[in-house]
Amino acid sequence: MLREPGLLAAIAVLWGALLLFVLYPALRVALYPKVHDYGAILSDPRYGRALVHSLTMLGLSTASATGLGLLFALATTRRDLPLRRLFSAVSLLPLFSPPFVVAFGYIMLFGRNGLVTHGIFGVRTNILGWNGLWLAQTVSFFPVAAVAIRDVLETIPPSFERAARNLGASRLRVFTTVTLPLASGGIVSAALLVAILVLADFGNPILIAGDYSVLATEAWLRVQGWADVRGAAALSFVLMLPSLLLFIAQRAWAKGKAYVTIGGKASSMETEPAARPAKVFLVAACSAVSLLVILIYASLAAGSLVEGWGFDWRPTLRWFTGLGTQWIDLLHSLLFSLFAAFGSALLAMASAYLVRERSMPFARAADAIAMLPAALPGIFIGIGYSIAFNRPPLDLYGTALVIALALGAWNLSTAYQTGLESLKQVSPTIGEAASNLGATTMRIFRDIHLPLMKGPFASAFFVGFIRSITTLSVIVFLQTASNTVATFSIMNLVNDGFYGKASALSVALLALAFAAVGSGRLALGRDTRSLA
Amino acid sequence: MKRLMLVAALFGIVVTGLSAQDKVIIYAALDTKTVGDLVAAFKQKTGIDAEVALQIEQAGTVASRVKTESDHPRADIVIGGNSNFHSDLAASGYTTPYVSPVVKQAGIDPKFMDDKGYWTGWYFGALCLIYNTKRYNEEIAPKGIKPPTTWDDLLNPAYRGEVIASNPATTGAAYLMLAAQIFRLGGEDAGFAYIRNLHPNVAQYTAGANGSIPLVSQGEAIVGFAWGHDTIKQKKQGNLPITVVFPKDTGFEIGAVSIIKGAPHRALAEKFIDFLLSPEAQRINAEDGYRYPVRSDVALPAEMPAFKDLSLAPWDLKLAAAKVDDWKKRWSSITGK
Repeated sequence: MLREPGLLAAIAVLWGALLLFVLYPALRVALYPKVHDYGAILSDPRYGRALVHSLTMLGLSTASATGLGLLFALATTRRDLPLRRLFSAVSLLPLFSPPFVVAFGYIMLFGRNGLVTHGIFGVRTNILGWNGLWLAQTVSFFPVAAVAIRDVLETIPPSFERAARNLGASRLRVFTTVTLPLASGGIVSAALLVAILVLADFGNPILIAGDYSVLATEAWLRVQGWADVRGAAALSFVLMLPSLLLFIAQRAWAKGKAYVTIGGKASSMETEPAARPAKVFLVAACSAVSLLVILIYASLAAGSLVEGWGFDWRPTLRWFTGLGTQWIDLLHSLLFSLFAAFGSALLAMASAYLVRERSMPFARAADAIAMLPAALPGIFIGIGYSIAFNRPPLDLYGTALVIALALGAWNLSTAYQTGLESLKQVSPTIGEAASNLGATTMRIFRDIHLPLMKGPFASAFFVGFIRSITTLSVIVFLQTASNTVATFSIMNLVNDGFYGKASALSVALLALAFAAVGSGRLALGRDTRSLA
Repeated sequence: MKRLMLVAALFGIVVTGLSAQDKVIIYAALDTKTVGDLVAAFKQKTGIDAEVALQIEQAGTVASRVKTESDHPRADIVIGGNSNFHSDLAASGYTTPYVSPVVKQAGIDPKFMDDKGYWTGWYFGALCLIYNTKRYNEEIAPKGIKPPTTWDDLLNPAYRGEVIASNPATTGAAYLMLAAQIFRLGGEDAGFAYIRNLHPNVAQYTAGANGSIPLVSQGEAIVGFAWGHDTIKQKKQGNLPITVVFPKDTGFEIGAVSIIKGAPHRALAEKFIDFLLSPEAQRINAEDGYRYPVRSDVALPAEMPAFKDLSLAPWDLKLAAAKVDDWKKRWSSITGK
């Protein structure tokens, strides 16, 4: 290694980046509060209630989102099911939009002035609270479960189910004794993924939870209302602990159950036809959910084109033409997300390569640090960056750079996992063979690993971009008037009741995200699994 | 190449915000327009440059910033936010005293100033009641109930589940509303009895001070309370279907300015405070933000009732500051929020 100064420099840079941009801000959050601040948080009944509420939502939303995800996964992997393409498309929508968009659309449909509740049925219902939050989180996060479970279902060879049928098992028995057990690992793993998202969810509760307090929003409210940064850091730390536990459980589980992918590749054999009642149930349930999802997005689009939602239905373009400074917010979103996505993809690919292929010093520690952000709620990273980089030589608070860096750190783990997965597919014998034939390590890197990592790099880039442009939790602590991003702007517009403008800006943001998905699909060709 | 340009562009954004010359550096917890107009007028009047290094309407964010960078203060002055934030900064040693000569020259009432000189009050805001005009006319007026004009009117059982309040755990405005009840009713027990009686009528305690404005405008509830200046402004901008009333014995805030301890340009910061008390600055703040001037010689926009027509609760600023934790806890035990 010492013979390769380039490699040494790369390792040094990588270690520097991991320590400075991931570990240091995380440690700052933990160490910033004094013991007294932790005591104050733990003894305040408000935060005890918020913790109970967070765990309640964790249970409710995780169960419902995972359940729905399973239904969608089943529906979209059965090739004989009508409308499966529609279900598949609908279950992707919430993945590419800011989570709070669901809460927002839900208020427009079912709020006291809602199109459905008040407009059609003439009732005024109060959806602000745990029930509204439950529905919003279910719709926001079931697609994550659907994708994860579908991946597992597709690895179950149809021949297993067929064999069981031929041996005389009923369809229900095949489902409960073959399909479900084989998919159970994937279902649990999906549930844990969803649980982490529900726990860290900031956008839905801030819009729809009313005065049902949850931990993820309390830290920010504490700073807003009483300028108590230490208390907010303590709260963020408390929120991080269950998230970390869930994350560790998810990793351990995924590792232990790796054997379920027996066949490896998806089979071309036709899946066993589903029983008629099961089909009817799947199609009915998925259609109902799809209708709700479509209504939510349609109401956003409609809301941006009428004078006053719920009371003045004359069409207008003034919400779009009236977007003044908000266009700049959108530009900020675009620039910061591009920077963050590019930076995190680059750092992640380099980390994956150096950790896996080159015996970099303390590779296990580097691996753990690169994986850490996946366990950290966005709010935790945001507050970490706001208190870590506010003194020379890294005096960055209030700048655009600090936002882009925080977004990059938050995306590192997903990108890193993508890189690792792709490298796992390269047999070490290829490198050895090349080496035996006289290739230098640099040459092996350039001719073998680099071409292989182009695909994962691109997919990490697009995923990072979409996550960055749609997040609210990471950026709320870092926003100032000169670098506002679109999601923050939308939140303020919704909270101030400017629904028309908020819908218009949401539509513009969604257009940007979908354009990114579209170009990602073009760039990546068939291999779009990682985008979904 | 494109990537390089992108990186260069991002760095461009960063670097422009960093250069520091001889100018006053401002952290502002006010809206963009007010701050921009104030800075431009200051430059025109004094020839001194001013840089707005942080501007966001949430005073908590701004005060937090001052705290977290106290060992390396970057800004000279914090403008905006109510005096509680400024008292809190002063009590923890983040700001230093300054008494502007303009206070005496202009005959400004000393009740707007910190008695130790740590902060200078330069505007004033009062809490107002708001109600959804249509829903009031359709649902409440037929019962022979007059439009709400006092805090006690909110206790009417006709408003059960129809009042939007806010939460003192998350916003100072709710704390000031609570303090107003205690001060106007003459004691803690009477004040908390009011909160207990109001509770069954409350549909929601919002996290922010002005959460009631959209909820009442959209008919989610019939009545609520919020900051008068923000309500008047939003009503005008959004043509909201609400009526604004300043109740008898209302709660209020003194909007303040403080000089940060270790300010790099202290002399310029003092000049800026003198400027904020000038008729020009006071007029800008009233016109852009509907905030009451502390001077009596400034004309108000037509939407604002005259200052002398406001009825304020008798107030004990010191007691209110000393009781923050106590009263928040007691409020929470009554409402369970």
